Amino acid sequence: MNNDNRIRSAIDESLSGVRFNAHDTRSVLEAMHSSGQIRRPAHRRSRLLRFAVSAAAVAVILVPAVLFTMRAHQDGSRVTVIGGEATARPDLIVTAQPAATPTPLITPDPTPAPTAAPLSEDDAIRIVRACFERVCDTSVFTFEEYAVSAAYGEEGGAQICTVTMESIYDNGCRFTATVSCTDGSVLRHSTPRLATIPAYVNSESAEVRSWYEKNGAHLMTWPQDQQAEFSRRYEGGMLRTARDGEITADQAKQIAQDASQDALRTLGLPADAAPACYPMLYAEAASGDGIARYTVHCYAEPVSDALPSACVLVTLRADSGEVESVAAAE
Amino acid sequence: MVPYTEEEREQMLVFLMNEYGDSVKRMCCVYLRDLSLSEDAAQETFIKAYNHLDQLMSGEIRSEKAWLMRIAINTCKDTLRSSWMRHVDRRQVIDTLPLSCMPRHEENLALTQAVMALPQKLKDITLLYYYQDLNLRTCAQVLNISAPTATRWLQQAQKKLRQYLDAD
Repeated sequence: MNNDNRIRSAIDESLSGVRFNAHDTRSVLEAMHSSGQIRRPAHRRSRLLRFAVSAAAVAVILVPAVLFTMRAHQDGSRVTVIGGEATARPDLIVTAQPAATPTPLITPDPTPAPTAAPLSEDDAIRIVRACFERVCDTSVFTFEEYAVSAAYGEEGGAQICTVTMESIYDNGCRFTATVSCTDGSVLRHSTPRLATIPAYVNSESAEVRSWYEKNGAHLMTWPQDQQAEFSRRYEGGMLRTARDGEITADQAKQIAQDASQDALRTLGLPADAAPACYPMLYAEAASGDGIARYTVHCYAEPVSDALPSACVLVTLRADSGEVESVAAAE
Repeated sequence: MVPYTEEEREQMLVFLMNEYGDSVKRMCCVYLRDLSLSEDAAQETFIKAYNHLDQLMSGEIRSEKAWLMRIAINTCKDTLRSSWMRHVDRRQVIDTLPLSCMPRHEENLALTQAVMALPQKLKDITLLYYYQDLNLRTCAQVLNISAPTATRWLQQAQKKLRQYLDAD
């Protein structure tokens, strides 16, 4: 192989923020699972066109359907809800069926109840829990960190129970398994990674907002344990707290204050003032070489809601405290 | 051909995404000079790979990396060939890319920009040879060209990069 790896290093360093992240993985896996056929990822710039085509298609399909339904109502037809899983699914299929005799009242038929399922909901959840604990990485999230629901249905003439576990943190993590009511076997389950890799930070979520309300607008100013827990819930644990044998956040802060002083003086730090430094400990998984490092943001003045313009980034190793770089942030 | 279960195929796909995801996405980013397009292209690369996973798993394909990079490059070329892309100004994206926790060095940025600025065929060979660390013969196979042509393209790319960096 070629010995000159400057180009590789340059691209990796310049584009180190470009990663095939959980969102990408999820998109690929969801594309793979969607209706048993592969779809192409949506190109953002063609969405308008796709929207227009979809809207036209919906209009072509819906308008005659609505007209037909209205006509059916006038004729005294009944609206029937069909589908074995109807009670558990929001996407009910509604069809108009002409009634044998006109009836004045339009009422949905009750969903056919599963007939004497031999498997109770509790049993189904217990089976899925065992499955989850076998196939998923429970060091990330435990079973108790999911909201669990179960819905009965029918598949190929046999009763099934689908158990859905959704993260209580509103981070998109989800695990679904389908259990046979006949013999209690797990017929299939969703991809384990989707259960433990947070897909996004939903800034609209009340849960997420409460973190920022409690700790402030900037993650770096939060206490270390809060940073680590937030990161575990929403960022795949990229930040963590210091372990035995590693320098503490306070020590990292002190080292960074010393290291950044000269650079910050040129950016307006008064001679008698110390830099305001905010350490974040990036876990091994966040670096390309498997070494945990502190990245410390240092400013000439303490951070409020608005960040000061001049910032110096100090990078130091968590195990030794050795300063690896001091650079003005872009 | 041995039929593989969905679970086995999915495990293989997850392995490929873990192993090559970052480098595929970065290569697409250099190739397309657009972050959101590179995201789509990288995802599409793995979706296409999944569709042909049986070839890889049955041993028909000797180098999974070369195979994946061929898919990635073809996906990027398809994107560039789209009629929309022909009318777009894609001069630079590097300043709009997500910042890493590590500071970036100016000379590395300049070198990355120089690679981005190369003509397409020279960029192909540079990315495969230097970034993906494939040997020249494999690069030639991936690009469907002869080994001497690959060598010539590589020399031209080196010359262009030198000129670009000297001028900078």
